[in-house]
Amino acid sequence: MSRFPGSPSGNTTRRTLLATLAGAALAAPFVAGRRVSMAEPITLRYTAHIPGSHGLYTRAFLPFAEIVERETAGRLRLEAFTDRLLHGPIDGFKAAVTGITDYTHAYGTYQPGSFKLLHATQLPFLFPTPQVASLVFEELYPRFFKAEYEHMGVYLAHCDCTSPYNIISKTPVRRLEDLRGLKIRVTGGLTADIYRELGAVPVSIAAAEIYPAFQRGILDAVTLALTDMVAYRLQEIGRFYTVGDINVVLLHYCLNRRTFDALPADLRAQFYRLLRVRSQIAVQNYYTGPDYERAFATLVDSGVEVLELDEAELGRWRDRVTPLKERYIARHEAEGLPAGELVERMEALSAAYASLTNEQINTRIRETPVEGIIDL
Amino acid sequence: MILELLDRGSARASGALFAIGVRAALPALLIMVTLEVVLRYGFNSPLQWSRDVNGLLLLITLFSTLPQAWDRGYHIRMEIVHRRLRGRWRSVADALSALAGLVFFGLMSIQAASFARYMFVTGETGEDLNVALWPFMVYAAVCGLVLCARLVANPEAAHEADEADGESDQWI
Repeated sequence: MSRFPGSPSGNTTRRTLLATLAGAALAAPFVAGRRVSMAEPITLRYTAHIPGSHGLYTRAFLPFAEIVERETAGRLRLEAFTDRLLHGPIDGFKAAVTGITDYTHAYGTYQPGSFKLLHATQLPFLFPTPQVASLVFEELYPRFFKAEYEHMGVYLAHCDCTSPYNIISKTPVRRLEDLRGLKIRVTGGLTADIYRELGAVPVSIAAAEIYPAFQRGILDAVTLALTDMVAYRLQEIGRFYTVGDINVVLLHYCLNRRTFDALPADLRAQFYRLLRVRSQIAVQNYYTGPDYERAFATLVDSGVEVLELDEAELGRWRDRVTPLKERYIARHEAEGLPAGELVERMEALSAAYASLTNEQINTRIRETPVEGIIDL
Repeated sequence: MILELLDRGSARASGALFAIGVRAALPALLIMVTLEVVLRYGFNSPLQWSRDVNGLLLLITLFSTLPQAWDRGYHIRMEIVHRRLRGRWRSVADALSALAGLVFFGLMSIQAASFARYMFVTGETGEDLNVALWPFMVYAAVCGLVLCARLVANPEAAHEADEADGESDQWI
């Protein structure tokens, strides 16, 4: 209770406050809210938690924004807000649903409880290359992932894929036994399960905190895509880089439903096709190719020793994580989800596409883009 | 009459929230952080979900104590200006402070309630903690609403707290 109920100055303040509130309530219906404006040229807001210097922005978003503007003859433009300017990394879905953004990163790994089948793509030793992972995911999306993803109130824009996650560590990891008890930074969900299965101690730490944690000994090792390791300068701390190509992480992007649906029909169809092209831009420009090679050279030039696991050792790692796949399938089949069929289809398509070159994949996505990712 | 009821009810709610914050959430946070440090450095066995739990406990602590922070005048103010104001000017300044808080926390509570529904529908959990997060969003919304009620019922809290503490202009 107020300590001075009914004091003259208290009543004056309260009256002033109530009068202002009453005025605001009366004025509220006449204050215009934000409406979706579709006067051409149309500008969609792209928001990102990554800095403007990150390869996903410079090597993927910027070229894509240019393609969109050129191919739509300037009718559609993308305006970028990077560096968490409008929202953080885990708020992508909410930002799209509330209209803060039109197009943003919305990763399933950041909200593991909202997805079940989507996590299957993190299973170990599933995809031969990130290009194939992205292609396979988009092809299977309408049948297996669409219901889960659209339940979040958004559309899937496209899906990037990181290069395989490998290990940078302070002590050499040459054998399975070297992983035992190692505190390793992982992303959540299945990746944590993989390393637990391999004997390590998974530690979950935000990407921006990896460097100091690695430096102070909170972490003994980090598993990440090579380009991201170098982006976070982990080669300054880690002395060994173990190549096992254990798993990849798919990076999903979402679209604000209202703004996408409000686009003119022809522009909607054109943007949809361009998004299929975008699904390979980050993979081919940043997570593989010259940028990947440059990151690898930086790692080696920094004195990091590269440790390649031989086939026999890799076989032991595979054997160790095999039960994980079986458990994943059994758990979700028990819930009535087609997890077994999904894993089978992913493995079959991965094998079928394994030999495709970038050019062949690009021809495929341009000439026969996957239908049904968004119902046009 | 209505304002008196609002004042009494919200003051009681504010006290209860404060008790949750300082007697439950804050000690739990201290214990969790200590436990995590001991397990991490002493036994090489960190808790994977501790980051999520600590974040939630911090959220509960902060939001629980907001209404009391207003009532006791612990919120951030422009002391250098506020203490110099007298009479009607001070009332207007207090009303504007309360109004600003009301707009901010009112909108925040509405958004939190809307997010809570969204989080419930989408089954949102922590990144490493497999626990539904929507109840914590509801809690944040409730704390925001109690604060709004305190702002309306007791807009001069800062002034009153100053007087109760023996306000002096002899500041340096």
